[in-house]
Amino acid sequence: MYFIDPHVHMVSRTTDDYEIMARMGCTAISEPAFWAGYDRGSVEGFRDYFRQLTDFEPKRAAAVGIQHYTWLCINAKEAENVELSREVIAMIPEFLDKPNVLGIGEIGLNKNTPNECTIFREHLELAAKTDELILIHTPHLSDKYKGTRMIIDMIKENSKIDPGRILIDHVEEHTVKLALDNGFWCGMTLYPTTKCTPARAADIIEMAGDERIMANSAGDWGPSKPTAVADFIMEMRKRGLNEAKIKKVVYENPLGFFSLSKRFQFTPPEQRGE
Amino acid sequence: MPTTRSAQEILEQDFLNMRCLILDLAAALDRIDRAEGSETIENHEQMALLQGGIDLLKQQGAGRAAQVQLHFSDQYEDGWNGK
Ligand SMILES: [Zn+2]
Repeated sequence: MYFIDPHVHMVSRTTDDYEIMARMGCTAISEPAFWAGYDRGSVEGFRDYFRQLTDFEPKRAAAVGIQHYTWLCINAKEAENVELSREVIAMIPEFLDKPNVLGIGEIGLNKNTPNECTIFREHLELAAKTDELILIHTPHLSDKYKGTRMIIDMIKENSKIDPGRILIDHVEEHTVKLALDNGFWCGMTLYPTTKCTPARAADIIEMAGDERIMANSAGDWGPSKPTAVADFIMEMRKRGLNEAKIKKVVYENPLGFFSLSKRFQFTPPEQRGE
Repeated sequence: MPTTRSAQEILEQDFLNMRCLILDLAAALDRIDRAEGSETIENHEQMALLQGGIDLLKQQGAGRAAQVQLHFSDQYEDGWNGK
């Protein structure tokens, strides 16, 4: 089965990982801008990173037949530096006409601090002004519930923003309904340790339904598995779900969300080649 | 999306894994108990959180996972943004 991984940080993965993902059926990925493992010193560091995301990574992905899309922002961790964040936000429009850019992301909260809120609101303003899709990071552990509620509160402050053009990521059992009931798309992030597992993600689908929901691997610098979406497919197969239902979550839903971007162009794997 | 398997089937398929998860938890608690200074952390906030989480497992009905998540979550304050 073909699948799409809608949230994977390939800059932190090897070319071998791209190849393994392709062999498992990954046909497209989207890569949100995130923390590099260290705080960048200047706006030039971000300009180079955005060149990597819009120029180099699409080529590395294409070499194994994966279509690469991306999202641009300064992540919540580095948003503590408000001055640098504002320089980055002012620079983002330089890249908004690159063909693989889907929108602004992953913006959001990390420790739910006032500075993170300030920069989150300014990113929302940029997305509203440029009519871009938004991909949102929610905090990972004890701050997730509070952070998700705060994020939704701030989106509601901005009347120009349509929840149907936003994906709230890293939802778990206690936040999935907050996202869906407020009209957002949502993503479940599967990790080998401490966070959501493929089995719990399948439980969430059973409880919350399969509309506007998808699964991703995060595939970042920490312990994470770029093949997690394939593991999730196996879990759903073991439960006896039919292939059409599985395909909806791992392929059609990401396509449905990405298609809301004015630049999104996608060739289904069946239509590629001679 | 409804579940595709009966309760009996899920129990049969998951029993050994669930047994293992309980054993992992029991062994982790034993590890703390065996270690030097275990009596000094009895009232530790994290120990109380763990105990509360274990108590939630004994509840009847679905929704335990969401309850455990909320138990380990920071408090959200209504109107924090002045709205
Ligand atoms: Zn991420």
